[in-house]
Amino acid sequence: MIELSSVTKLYGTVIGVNDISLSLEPGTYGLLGPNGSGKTTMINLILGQLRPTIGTVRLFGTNPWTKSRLLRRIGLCPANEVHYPRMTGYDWVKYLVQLHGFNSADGHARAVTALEQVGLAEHMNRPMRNYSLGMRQRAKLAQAMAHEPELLILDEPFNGLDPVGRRQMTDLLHEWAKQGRSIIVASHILHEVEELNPSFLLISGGRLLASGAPSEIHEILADTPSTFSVRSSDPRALAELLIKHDMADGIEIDGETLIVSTESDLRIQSGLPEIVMENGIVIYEMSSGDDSLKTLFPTLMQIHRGETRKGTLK
Amino acid sequence: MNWIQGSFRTCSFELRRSLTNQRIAVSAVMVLFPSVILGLVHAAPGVQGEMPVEVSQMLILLLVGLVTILSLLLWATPNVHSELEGKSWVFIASRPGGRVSNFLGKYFASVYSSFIVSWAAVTLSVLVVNQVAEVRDPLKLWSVLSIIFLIACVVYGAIFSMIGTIFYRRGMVIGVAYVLVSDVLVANLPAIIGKLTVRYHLQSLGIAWMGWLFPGGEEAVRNYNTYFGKPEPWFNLTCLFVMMALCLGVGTFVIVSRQYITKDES
Repeated sequence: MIELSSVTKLYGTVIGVNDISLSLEPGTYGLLGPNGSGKTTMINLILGQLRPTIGTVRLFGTNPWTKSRLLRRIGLCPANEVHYPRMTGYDWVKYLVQLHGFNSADGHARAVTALEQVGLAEHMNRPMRNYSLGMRQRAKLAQAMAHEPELLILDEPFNGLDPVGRRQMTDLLHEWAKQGRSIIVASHILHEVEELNPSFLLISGGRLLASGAPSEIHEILADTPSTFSVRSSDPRALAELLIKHDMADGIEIDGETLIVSTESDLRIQSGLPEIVMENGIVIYEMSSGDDSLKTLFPTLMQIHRGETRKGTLK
Repeated sequence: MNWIQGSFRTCSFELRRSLTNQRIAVSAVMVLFPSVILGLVHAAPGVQGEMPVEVSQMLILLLVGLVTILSLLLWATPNVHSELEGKSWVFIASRPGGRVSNFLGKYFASVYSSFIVSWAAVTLSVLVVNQVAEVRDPLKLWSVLSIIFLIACVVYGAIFSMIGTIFYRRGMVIGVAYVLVSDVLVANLPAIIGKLTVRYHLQSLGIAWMGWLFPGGEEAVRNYNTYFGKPEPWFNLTCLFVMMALCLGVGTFVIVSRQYITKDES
Protein backbone atom coordinates (compact mmCIF):
# COMPACT_ATOMS: atom_id res chain seq x y z
CA MET A 1 0.00 0.00 0.00
CA ILE A 2 2.73 2.50 0.98
CA GLU A 3 6.40 2.22 0.24
CA LEU A 4 9.09 4.67 1.22
CA SER A 5 12.63 3.98 0.03
CA SER A 6 15.41 5.93 1.72
CA VAL A 7 13.23 9.01 1.86
CA THR A 8 14.73 12.24 3.13
CA LYS A 9 12.95 15.58 3.11
CA LEU A 10 14.85 18.79 3.71
CA TYR A 11 13.30 22.19 4.35
CA GLY A 12 16.27 24.28 3.39
CA THR A 13 18.87 23.11 5.86
CA VAL A 14 16.35 21.63 8.30
CA ILE A 15 15.66 17.91 8.10
CA GLY A 16 11.96 17.04 8.12
CA VAL A 17 12.34 13.33 7.52
CA ASN A 18 15.67 11.54 7.56
CA ASP A 19 16.37 8.44 5.48
CA ILE A 20 13.15 6.56 6.14
CA SER A 21 12.48 3.24 4.46
CA LEU A 22 9.34 1.29 5.14
CA SER A 23 6.72 -0.79 3.46
CA LEU A 24 3.17 -0.83 4.80
CA GLU A 25 0.60 -3.40 3.81
CA PRO A 26 -3.12 -2.58 4.29
CA GLY A 27 -3.94 -2.47 8.01
CA THR A 28 -4.06 -0.19 11.02
CA TYR A 29 -0.97 1.80 11.92
CA GLY A 30 -0.09 4.16 14.72
CA LEU A 31 2.50 6.75 13.75
CA LEU A 32 3.89 7.86 17.07
CA GLY A 33 6.34 10.59 17.81
CA PRO A 34 6.78 13.75 19.84
CA ASN A 35 5.67 17.09 18.43
CA GLY A 36 7.96 18.17 15.62
CA SER A 37 9.25 14.65 15.03
CA GLY A 38 8.35 14.58 11.34
CA LYS A 39 4.91 12.88 11.44
CA THR A 40 3.13 15.53 9.40
CA THR A 41 5.99 15.73 6.91
CA MET A 42 5.80 11.98 6.47
CA ILE A 43 2.05 12.17 5.90
CA ASN A 44 2.51 14.95 3.34
CA LEU A 45 5.12 12.87 1.55
CA ILE A 46 2.75 9.90 1.44
CA LEU A 47 -0.02 12.12 0.09
CA GLY A 48 2.20 13.67 -2.58
CA GLN A 49 1.92 17.15 -1.09
CA LEU A 50 5.68 17.21 -0.67
CA ARG A 51 8.35 15.79 -2.95
CA PRO A 52 11.14 13.87 -1.24
CA THR A 53 14.55 15.52 -1.51
CA ILE A 54 16.09 12.05 -1.72
CA GLY A 55 14.41 8.68 -2.22
CA THR A 56 11.10 7.54 -3.61
CA VAL A 57 7.54 7.31 -2.31
CA ARG A 58 4.99 4.90 -3.71
CA LEU A 59 1.32 4.96 -2.79
CA PHE A 60 -0.76 2.11 -4.17
CA GLY A 61 2.22 1.41 -6.42
CA THR A 62 2.35 4.89 -7.94
CA ASN A 63 4.20 8.12 -7.30
CA PRO A 64 1.67 10.28 -5.44
CA TRP A 65 3.43 13.52 -6.44
CA THR A 66 2.57 12.98 -10.10
CA LYS A 67 -0.82 11.27 -9.72
CA SER A 68 -3.24 13.38 -7.76
CA ARG A 69 -5.99 10.96 -8.84
CA LEU A 70 -4.74 8.64 -6.09
CA LEU A 71 -6.12 11.06 -3.54
CA ARG A 72 -9.60 9.76 -4.34
CA ARG A 73 -8.59 6.61 -2.44
CA ILE A 74 -7.42 8.49 0.62
CA GLY A 75 -9.18 10.41 3.35
CA LEU A 76 -7.09 12.89 5.30
CA CYS A 77 -8.00 14.38 8.64
CA PRO A 78 -5.16 16.85 9.25
CA ALA A 79 -4.14 18.25 12.59
CA ASN A 80 -4.88 21.77 11.34
CA GLU A 81 -7.82 23.69 12.70
CA VAL A 82 -10.68 24.57 10.36
CA HIS A 83 -11.28 28.28 9.75
CA TYR A 84 -14.56 28.70 7.93
CA PRO A 85 -16.56 30.55 10.57
CA ARG A 86 -19.56 31.46 8.42
CA MET A 87 -20.01 28.12 6.71
CA THR A 88 -21.99 25.32 8.25
CA GLY A 89 -20.39 21.94 8.88
CA TYR A 90 -22.69 20.50 6.23
CA ASP A 91 -21.69 23.07 3.56
CA TRP A 92 -18.03 22.51 4.22
CA VAL A 93 -18.16 18.72 4.20
CA LYS A 94 -20.39 18.69 1.10
CA TYR A 95 -18.01 21.01 -0.75
CA LEU A 96 -14.99 18.86 0.07
CA VAL A 97 -16.83 15.66 -0.89
CA GLN A 98 -17.82 17.22 -4.19
CA LEU A 99 -14.16 17.98 -4.90
CA HIS A 100 -13.77 14.20 -5.14
CA GLY A 101 -15.98 14.31 -8.22
CA PHE A 102 -19.41 13.65 -6.73
CA ASN A 103 -22.43 15.54 -8.02
CA SER A 104 -24.59 17.68 -5.78
CA ALA A 105 -27.06 14.90 -4.83
CA ASP A 106 -24.31 12.39 -4.03
CA GLY A 107 -22.33 15.05 -2.22
CA HIS A 108 -25.36 15.85 -0.09
CA ALA A 109 -26.06 12.19 0.74
CA ARG A 110 -22.44 11.42 1.60
CA ALA A 111 -21.98 14.57 3.66
CA VAL A 112 -25.12 13.85 5.70
CA THR A 113 -24.17 10.20 6.24
CA ALA A 114 -20.65 11.08 7.34
CA LEU A 115 -21.85 13.82 9.69
CA GLU A 116 -24.32 11.37 11.20
CA GLN A 117 -21.54 8.80 11.65
CA VAL A 118 -19.41 11.23 13.61
CA GLY A 119 -22.37 12.34 15.72
CA LEU A 120 -22.70 15.81 14.26
CA ALA A 121 -26.07 15.41 12.54
CA GLU A 122 -27.88 17.70 14.99
CA HIS A 123 -25.40 20.52 14.55
CA MET A 124 -24.53 20.22 10.89
CA ASN A 125 -26.55 23.26 9.85
CA ARG A 126 -24.95 25.54 12.42
CA PRO A 127 -22.12 27.90 11.39
CA MET A 128 -18.77 26.43 12.31
CA ARG A 129 -17.87 29.46 14.43
CA ASN A 130 -20.34 28.04 16.98
CA TYR A 131 -18.64 24.66 17.06
CA SER A 132 -16.55 23.52 19.99
CA LEU A 133 -13.07 22.16 19.34
CA GLY A 134 -14.44 18.62 19.59
CA MET A 135 -17.20 19.37 17.07
CA ARG A 136 -14.72 20.82 14.61
CA GLN A 137 -12.63 17.70 15.07
CA ARG A 138 -15.66 15.57 14.20
CA ALA A 139 -16.40 17.69 11.14
CA LYS A 140 -12.82 17.16 10.03
CA LEU A 141 -13.23 13.43 10.45
CA ALA A 142 -16.51 13.52 8.49
CA GLN A 143 -14.87 15.22 5.49
CA ALA A 144 -12.14 12.57 5.52
CA MET A 145 -14.55 9.63 5.63
CA ALA A 146 -17.40 10.87 3.47
CA HIS A 147 -16.07 9.60 0.15
CA GLU A 148 -15.33 6.17 1.68
CA PRO A 149 -11.61 6.01 1.01
CA GLU A 150 -9.51 2.87 1.22
CA LEU A 151 -6.99 4.55 3.49
CA LEU A 152 -7.80 6.99 6.25
CA ILE A 153 -4.94 9.15 7.52
CA LEU A 154 -5.63 10.92 10.80
CA ASP A 155 -3.19 13.43 12.23
CA GLU A 156 -3.77 13.94 15.98
CA PRO A 157 -7.47 13.02 15.65
CA PHE A 158 -8.16 12.95 19.39
CA ASN A 159 -7.17 16.56 20.00
CA GLY A 160 -9.96 18.46 21.73
CA LEU A 161 -12.22 15.44 22.22
CA ASP A 162 -13.69 14.77 25.64
CA PRO A 163 -13.50 11.18 27.02
CA VAL A 164 -16.90 10.29 25.52
CA GLY A 165 -15.85 11.74 22.20
CA ARG A 166 -12.61 9.78 22.31
CA ARG A 167 -14.51 6.58 22.99
CA GLN A 168 -16.88 7.25 20.09
CA MET A 169 -14.00 8.11 17.80
CA THR A 170 -12.17 4.91 18.78
CA ASP A 171 -15.31 2.83 18.16
CA LEU A 172 -15.82 4.49 14.82
CA LEU A 173 -12.27 3.76 13.77
CA HIS A 174 -12.62 0.15 14.97
CA GLU A 175 -15.72 -0.16 12.77
CA TRP A 176 -13.81 1.36 9.90
CA ALA A 177 -10.94 -1.10 10.28
CA LYS A 178 -13.38 -4.03 10.54
CA GLN A 179 -14.62 -3.21 7.05
CA GLY A 180 -11.15 -4.06 5.79
CA ARG A 181 -10.06 -0.48 5.32
CA SER A 182 -6.70 0.87 6.34
CA ILE A 183 -5.95 3.56 8.90
CA ILE A 184 -2.86 5.52 9.84
CA VAL A 185 -3.22 7.47 13.07
CA ALA A 186 -0.49 9.96 13.89
CA SER A 187 -0.26 11.01 17.51
CA HIS A 188 2.19 12.02 20.19
CA ILE A 189 0.19 10.21 22.88
CA LEU A 190 0.62 6.47 23.03
CA HIS A 191 -2.53 5.40 24.86
CA GLU A 192 -4.77 7.30 22.42
CA VAL A 193 -3.59 5.12 19.59
CA GLU A 194 -3.07 1.96 21.57
CA GLU A 195 -6.77 1.17 21.77
CA LEU A 196 -6.92 0.71 18.02
CA ASN A 197 -4.42 -2.09 18.41
CA PRO A 198 -2.31 -0.93 15.52
CA SER A 199 1.15 -1.77 14.34
CA PHE A 200 3.35 1.03 15.55
CA LEU A 201 5.76 3.25 13.71
CA LEU A 202 7.86 5.26 16.13
CA ILE A 203 9.39 8.39 14.68
CA SER A 204 11.57 11.01 16.28
CA GLY A 205 13.92 13.63 14.91
CA GLY A 206 12.73 12.74 11.44
CA ARG A 207 13.94 9.16 11.81
CA LEU A 208 11.93 5.98 12.00
CA LEU A 209 13.25 4.54 15.25
CA ALA A 210 11.21 1.40 15.59
CA SER A 211 8.23 -0.38 14.18
CA GLY A 212 6.26 -3.40 15.18
CA ALA A 213 3.21 -4.93 16.81
CA PRO A 214 1.90 -3.55 20.14
CA SER A 215 3.50 -6.40 22.07
CA GLU A 216 6.90 -5.62 20.62
CA ILE A 217 6.56 -1.94 21.46
CA HIS A 218 5.50 -2.85 24.99
CA GLU A 219 8.61 -4.97 25.30
CA ILE A 220 10.71 -1.95 24.44
CA LEU A 221 8.66 0.21 26.78
CA ALA A 222 9.04 -2.31 29.57
CA ASP A 223 12.79 -1.99 29.40
CA THR A 224 12.76 1.76 29.26
CA PRO A 225 13.33 4.20 32.12
CA SER A 226 10.04 5.62 33.30
CA THR A 227 8.16 7.09 36.22
CA PHE A 228 5.12 5.58 37.93
CA SER A 229 2.79 7.05 40.45
CA VAL A 230 1.27 4.59 42.91
CA ARG A 231 -1.43 5.45 45.45
CA SER A 232 -1.58 2.82 48.16
CA SER A 233 -2.78 2.12 51.69
CA ASP A 234 0.80 2.24 53.09
CA PRO A 235 3.12 4.27 50.90
CA ARG A 236 6.10 4.18 53.28
CA ALA A 237 6.06 0.39 53.59
CA LEU A 238 5.69 0.07 49.85
CA ALA A 239 8.61 2.42 49.28
CA GLU A 240 10.82 0.32 51.58
CA LEU A 241 9.81 -2.86 49.80
CA LEU A 242 10.46 -1.45 46.35
CA ILE A 243 13.95 -0.36 47.37
CA LYS A 244 14.63 -3.65 49.17
CA HIS A 245 13.67 -5.67 46.08
CA ASP A 246 15.68 -3.37 43.80
CA MET A 247 12.64 -2.37 41.79
CA ALA A 248 13.04 1.37 42.10
CA ASP A 249 15.90 3.69 41.36
CA GLY A 250 14.30 6.69 43.00
CA ILE A 251 11.24 7.29 45.17
CA GLU A 252 9.36 10.39 46.27
CA ILE A 253 6.49 10.29 48.75
CA ASP A 254 3.67 12.73 48.25
CA GLY A 255 0.94 11.96 50.81
CA GLU A 256 -0.61 8.64 49.81
CA THR A 257 1.19 8.67 46.49
CA LEU A 258 4.59 7.32 45.65
CA ILE A 259 6.41 8.64 42.61
CA VAL A 260 8.65 5.79 41.56
CA SER A 261 11.46 6.14 39.04
CA THR A 262 12.78 2.97 37.49
CA GLU A 263 15.27 2.02 34.84
CA SER A 264 12.99 -0.79 33.75
CA ASP A 265 9.18 -1.00 33.79
CA LEU A 266 9.47 -4.74 33.54
CA ARG A 267 10.92 -5.11 37.04
CA ILE A 268 7.95 -3.32 38.57
CA GLN A 269 5.36 -5.01 36.37
CA SER A 270 6.60 -8.49 37.29
CA GLY A 271 7.49 -7.97 40.94
CA LEU A 272 5.00 -5.50 42.35
CA PRO A 273 1.90 -7.74 42.54
CA GLU A 274 3.77 -10.33 44.57
CA ILE A 275 5.22 -7.99 47.20
CA VAL A 276 1.91 -6.16 47.54
CA MET A 277 0.01 -9.41 48.12
CA GLU A 278 2.59 -10.74 50.58
CA ASN A 279 2.57 -7.58 52.68
CA GLY A 280 -1.16 -6.83 52.57
CA ILE A 281 -0.76 -3.45 50.93
CA VAL A 282 -3.74 -2.17 48.96
CA ILE A 283 -3.07 -0.35 45.72
CA TYR A 284 -5.78 2.22 45.00
CA GLU A 285 -4.39 3.63 41.82
CA MET A 286 -1.37 3.19 39.64
CA SER A 287 -0.47 5.13 36.57
CA SER A 288 2.52 4.79 34.37
CA GLY A 289 2.57 8.54 33.65
CA ASP A 290 1.66 8.86 30.05
CA ASP A 291 4.91 10.57 29.53
CA SER A 292 6.04 7.12 28.55
CA LEU A 293 6.73 8.42 25.06
CA LYS A 294 8.81 11.27 26.39
CA THR A 295 11.12 8.79 28.03
CA LEU A 296 10.81 6.22 25.29
CA PHE A 297 12.06 8.37 22.44
CA PRO A 298 15.38 9.45 23.93
CA THR A 299 16.02 5.80 24.74
CA LEU A 300 15.12 4.72 21.24
CA MET A 301 17.35 7.43 19.87
CA GLN A 302 20.21 6.08 21.98
CA ILE A 303 19.51 2.57 20.74
CA HIS A 304 19.35 3.92 17.20
CA ARG A 305 22.77 5.52 17.60
CA GLY A 306 24.12 2.35 19.13
CA GLU A 307 24.78 4.02 22.48
CA THR A 308 22.81 1.44 24.47
CA ARG A 309 21.74 -2.13 23.99
CA LYS A 310 18.39 -1.83 25.65
CA GLY A 311 15.33 -2.74 23.66
CA THR A 312 15.06 -4.31 20.28
CA LEU A 313 14.70 -2.32 17.16
CA LYS A 314 13.19 -3.63 14.00
CA MET B 1 -12.01 16.24 -15.60
CA ASN B 2 -12.56 16.50 -11.90
CA TRP B 3 -10.91 19.93 -11.73
CA ILE B 4 -13.41 21.57 -14.08
CA GLN B 5 -16.35 20.66 -11.83
CA GLY B 6 -14.15 21.36 -8.84
CA SER B 7 -13.37 24.86 -10.12
CA PHE B 8 -17.04 25.80 -10.33
CA ARG B 9 -17.74 24.29 -6.92
CA THR B 10 -14.83 26.17 -5.43
CA CYS B 11 -16.08 29.38 -7.07
CA SER B 12 -19.56 28.88 -5.63
CA PHE B 13 -18.17 27.98 -2.18
CA GLU B 14 -15.83 30.98 -2.22
CA LEU B 15 -18.59 33.39 -3.13
CA ARG B 16 -20.80 32.12 -0.32
CA ARG B 17 -17.94 32.02 2.17
CA SER B 18 -16.83 35.55 1.47
CA LEU B 19 -20.26 37.13 1.61
CA THR B 20 -19.48 38.75 4.94
CA ASN B 21 -20.66 42.15 6.14
CA GLN B 22 -17.08 43.37 5.98
CA ARG B 23 -16.65 42.35 2.35
CA ILE B 24 -20.02 43.80 1.39
CA ALA B 25 -19.09 47.09 3.07
CA VAL B 26 -15.71 47.22 1.29
CA SER B 27 -17.40 46.46 -2.05
CA ALA B 28 -20.03 49.16 -1.44
CA VAL B 29 -17.29 51.72 -0.75
CA MET B 30 -15.52 50.69 -3.94
CA VAL B 31 -18.74 50.97 -5.95
CA LEU B 32 -19.52 54.44 -4.61
CA PHE B 33 -15.99 55.83 -4.67
CA PRO B 34 -15.76 56.83 -8.39
CA SER B 35 -19.23 58.40 -8.58
CA VAL B 36 -18.72 60.32 -5.32
CA ILE B 37 -15.35 61.67 -6.53
CA LEU B 38 -16.89 62.60 -9.91
CA GLY B 39 -19.75 64.35 -8.18
CA LEU B 40 -17.34 66.24 -5.91
CA VAL B 41 -15.12 67.26 -8.82
CA HIS B 42 -18.11 68.53 -10.80
CA ALA B 43 -19.44 70.39 -7.78
CA ALA B 44 -16.09 72.02 -7.05
CA PRO B 45 -16.00 75.82 -7.29
CA GLY B 46 -14.75 76.96 -10.70
CA VAL B 47 -15.59 73.63 -12.32
CA GLN B 48 -19.37 73.56 -12.12
CA GLY B 49 -20.68 72.68 -15.56
CA GLU B 50 -17.41 73.71 -17.19
CA MET B 51 -15.62 70.38 -17.31
CA PRO B 52 -15.43 68.86 -20.80
CA VAL B 53 -17.21 65.52 -21.06
CA GLU B 54 -13.95 63.88 -22.24
CA VAL B 55 -12.31 64.75 -18.93
CA SER B 56 -15.23 63.14 -17.09
CA GLN B 57 -14.90 60.02 -19.27
CA MET B 58 -11.20 59.88 -18.53
CA LEU B 59 -11.92 60.22 -14.83
CA ILE B 60 -14.42 57.35 -15.01
CA LEU B 61 -11.80 55.16 -16.66
CA LEU B 62 -9.18 56.15 -14.12
CA LEU B 63 -11.34 55.82 -10.99
CA VAL B 64 -13.25 52.67 -11.96
CA GLY B 65 -9.97 51.22 -13.24
CA LEU B 66 -8.42 51.88 -9.85
CA VAL B 67 -11.34 50.26 -8.05
CA THR B 68 -11.29 47.24 -10.37
CA ILE B 69 -7.57 46.71 -9.89
CA LEU B 70 -7.94 47.07 -6.14
CA SER B 71 -10.81 44.58 -6.02
CA LEU B 72 -8.86 42.06 -8.10
CA LEU B 73 -5.78 42.52 -5.94
CA LEU B 74 -7.88 41.81 -2.86
CA TRP B 75 -9.64 38.78 -4.35
CA ALA B 76 -7.27 37.16 -6.81
CA THR B 77 -3.75 37.47 -5.40
CA PRO B 78 -4.30 35.70 -2.05
CA ASN B 79 -5.56 32.54 -3.81
CA VAL B 80 -2.91 30.33 -2.20
CA HIS B 81 -1.80 32.51 0.69
CA SER B 82 -5.24 32.78 2.28
CA GLU B 83 -5.56 28.98 2.34
CA LEU B 84 -2.08 28.52 3.76
CA GLU B 85 -2.69 31.19 6.39
CA GLY B 86 -6.10 29.73 7.23
CA LYS B 87 -4.51 26.25 7.33
CA SER B 88 -7.20 25.03 4.95
CA TRP B 89 -4.78 24.40 2.07
CA VAL B 90 -4.22 20.77 3.00
CA PHE B 91 -7.97 20.01 2.91
CA ILE B 92 -8.18 21.25 -0.68
CA ALA B 93 -4.81 20.01 -1.88
CA SER B 94 -5.58 16.48 -0.66
CA ARG B 95 -8.41 16.23 -3.19
CA PRO B 96 -7.74 14.95 -6.72
CA GLY B 97 -7.28 18.06 -8.85
CA GLY B 98 -7.86 20.12 -5.72
CA ARG B 99 -5.00 22.52 -6.37
CA VAL B 100 -6.21 23.37 -9.87
CA SER B 101 -9.82 23.60 -8.64
CA ASN B 102 -8.67 26.07 -6.00
CA PHE B 103 -6.70 28.14 -8.51
CA LEU B 104 -9.38 28.34 -11.19
CA GLY B 105 -12.31 28.47 -8.76
CA LYS B 106 -10.82 31.43 -6.93
CA TYR B 107 -10.00 33.06 -10.28
CA PHE B 108 -13.63 32.77 -11.38
CA ALA B 109 -14.83 34.09 -8.02
CA SER B 110 -12.45 37.07 -8.19
CA VAL B 111 -13.50 37.92 -11.75
CA TYR B 112 -17.18 37.61 -10.88
CA SER B 113 -17.09 39.70 -7.74
CA SER B 114 -14.72 42.32 -9.16
CA PHE B 115 -16.82 42.71 -12.29
CA ILE B 116 -19.95 43.21 -10.19
CA VAL B 117 -18.11 46.01 -8.35
CA SER B 118 -16.72 47.66 -11.48
CA TRP B 119 -19.97 47.31 -13.43
CA ALA B 120 -21.94 48.92 -10.62
CA ALA B 121 -19.29 51.65 -10.33
CA VAL B 122 -19.42 52.31 -14.09
CA THR B 123 -23.21 52.46 -14.01
CA LEU B 124 -23.29 54.97 -11.16
CA SER B 125 -20.45 57.02 -12.63
CA VAL B 126 -22.08 57.28 -16.06
CA LEU B 127 -25.35 58.30 -14.38
CA VAL B 128 -23.54 61.02 -12.39
CA VAL B 129 -21.62 62.33 -15.40
CA ASN B 130 -24.77 62.29 -17.53
CA GLN B 131 -26.47 64.49 -14.94
CA VAL B 132 -23.76 67.14 -14.90
CA ALA B 133 -22.33 67.07 -18.43
CA GLU B 134 -23.68 66.46 -21.89
CA VAL B 135 -22.66 62.91 -22.76
CA ARG B 136 -23.36 62.30 -26.44
CA ASP B 137 -24.49 58.69 -26.13
CA PRO B 138 -24.60 57.63 -22.46
CA LEU B 139 -25.98 54.18 -23.22
CA LYS B 140 -23.13 53.47 -25.63
CA LEU B 141 -20.59 54.82 -23.16
CA TRP B 142 -22.04 52.61 -20.42
CA SER B 143 -22.08 49.52 -22.68
CA VAL B 144 -18.54 50.00 -23.96
CA LEU B 145 -17.13 50.69 -20.52
CA SER B 146 -18.96 47.69 -19.09
CA ILE B 147 -17.45 45.42 -21.75
CA ILE B 148 -13.99 46.91 -21.32
CA PHE B 149 -14.10 46.42 -17.56
CA LEU B 150 -15.37 42.87 -18.01
CA ILE B 151 -12.37 42.14 -20.22
CA ALA B 152 -10.12 43.94 -17.72
CA CYS B 153 -11.39 41.73 -14.88
CA VAL B 154 -10.85 38.56 -16.93
CA VAL B 155 -7.28 39.45 -17.96
CA TYR B 156 -6.02 41.23 -14.85
CA GLY B 157 -7.67 38.52 -12.74
CA ALA B 158 -5.59 35.90 -14.57
CA ILE B 159 -2.40 37.95 -14.12
CA PHE B 160 -2.98 38.49 -10.40
CA SER B 161 -3.99 34.86 -9.87
CA MET B 162 -0.74 33.76 -11.50
CA ILE B 163 1.21 36.21 -9.34
CA GLY B 164 -0.58 34.77 -6.30
CA THR B 165 0.71 31.28 -7.06
CA ILE B 166 4.29 32.35 -7.75
CA PHE B 167 4.80 35.00 -5.08
CA TYR B 168 2.25 33.65 -2.65
CA ARG B 169 3.66 35.41 0.41
CA ARG B 170 3.92 38.87 -1.23
CA GLY B 171 1.31 38.50 -3.96
CA MET B 172 -0.43 41.81 -3.37
CA VAL B 173 2.79 43.82 -3.24
CA ILE B 174 4.06 42.23 -6.45
CA GLY B 175 0.63 42.82 -8.01
CA VAL B 176 0.79 46.54 -7.20
CA ALA B 177 4.36 46.70 -8.50
CA TYR B 178 3.26 45.00 -11.71
CA VAL B 179 0.47 47.54 -12.25
CA LEU B 180 2.79 50.48 -11.61
CA VAL B 181 5.53 49.22 -13.89
CA SER B 182 3.38 47.75 -16.63
CA ASP B 183 0.31 49.96 -16.82
CA VAL B 184 1.65 53.26 -15.59
CA LEU B 185 5.16 53.20 -16.99
CA VAL B 186 5.52 50.75 -19.87
CA ALA B 187 2.04 51.24 -21.38
CA ASN B 188 2.88 54.91 -21.97
CA LEU B 189 6.00 54.11 -23.95
CA PRO B 190 5.43 54.47 -27.69
CA ALA B 191 7.37 51.30 -28.36
CA ILE B 192 6.70 47.64 -29.08
CA ILE B 193 7.05 46.81 -25.40
CA GLY B 194 4.04 48.99 -24.67
CA LYS B 195 1.92 46.63 -26.75
CA LEU B 196 2.63 43.87 -24.29
CA THR B 197 0.60 45.61 -21.62
CA VAL B 198 -3.06 45.03 -20.87
CA ARG B 199 -3.77 48.73 -20.66
CA TYR B 200 -2.61 49.38 -24.22
CA HIS B 201 -5.06 46.83 -25.62
CA LEU B 202 -7.96 47.95 -23.42
CA GLN B 203 -7.29 51.56 -24.38
CA SER B 204 -7.16 50.63 -28.08
CA LEU B 205 -10.47 48.78 -27.74
CA GLY B 206 -12.07 51.78 -26.05
CA ILE B 207 -10.86 54.08 -28.79
CA ALA B 208 -11.99 51.69 -31.52
CA TRP B 209 -15.47 51.29 -30.06
CA MET B 210 -16.08 54.80 -28.76
CA GLY B 211 -14.14 56.91 -31.23
CA TRP B 212 -12.13 58.88 -28.68
CA LEU B 213 -12.44 58.85 -24.91
CA PHE B 214 -9.91 61.44 -23.83
CA PRO B 215 -9.45 65.22 -23.98
CA GLY B 216 -7.38 66.86 -26.71
CA GLY B 217 -9.64 66.67 -29.75
CA GLU B 218 -8.55 65.54 -33.22
CA GLU B 219 -4.93 66.47 -32.74
CA ALA B 220 -4.68 64.13 -29.76
CA VAL B 221 -6.22 61.35 -31.85
CA ARG B 222 -3.69 61.92 -34.64
CA ASN B 223 -0.79 61.98 -32.22
CA TYR B 224 -1.99 58.85 -30.48
CA ASN B 225 -2.36 56.98 -33.76
CA THR B 226 1.09 58.10 -34.89
CA TYR B 227 2.81 56.91 -31.74
CA PHE B 228 0.73 53.90 -30.73
CA GLY B 229 -0.79 52.73 -34.03
CA LYS B 230 -4.40 51.89 -34.70
CA PRO B 231 -4.82 48.16 -34.34
CA GLU B 232 -8.03 46.33 -35.21
CA PRO B 233 -10.17 45.26 -32.21
CA TRP B 234 -9.75 41.58 -33.11
CA PHE B 235 -5.98 41.99 -32.71
CA ASN B 236 -6.43 43.54 -29.24
CA LEU B 237 -8.92 40.88 -28.23
CA THR B 238 -6.63 38.10 -29.43
CA CYS B 239 -3.67 39.56 -27.54
CA LEU B 240 -5.75 39.87 -24.37
CA PHE B 241 -7.03 36.31 -24.73
CA VAL B 242 -3.49 35.00 -25.20
CA MET B 243 -2.34 36.92 -22.10
CA MET B 244 -5.18 35.47 -20.04
CA ALA B 245 -4.61 31.90 -21.30
CA LEU B 246 -0.87 32.19 -20.76
CA CYS B 247 -1.25 33.46 -17.20
CA LEU B 248 -3.81 30.80 -16.30
CA GLY B 249 -1.58 28.15 -17.88
CA VAL B 250 1.50 29.30 -16.00
CA GLY B 251 -0.50 29.63 -12.76
CA THR B 252 -1.88 26.10 -13.15
CA PHE B 253 1.58 24.72 -13.85
CA VAL B 254 3.04 26.47 -10.81
CA ILE B 255 0.27 25.43 -8.46
CA VAL B 256 0.50 21.75 -9.33
CA SER B 257 4.27 21.59 -9.32
CA ARG B 258 5.08 23.67 -6.26
CA GLN B 259 5.40 22.44 -2.69
CA TYR B 260 3.49 24.92 -0.59
CA ILE B 261 4.67 24.69 2.96
CA THR B 262 2.61 25.95 5.86
CA LYS B 263 4.10 27.99 8.69
CA ASP B 264 3.86 24.96 10.98
CA GLU B 265 5.96 22.85 8.67
CA SER B 266 8.52 25.51 7.80
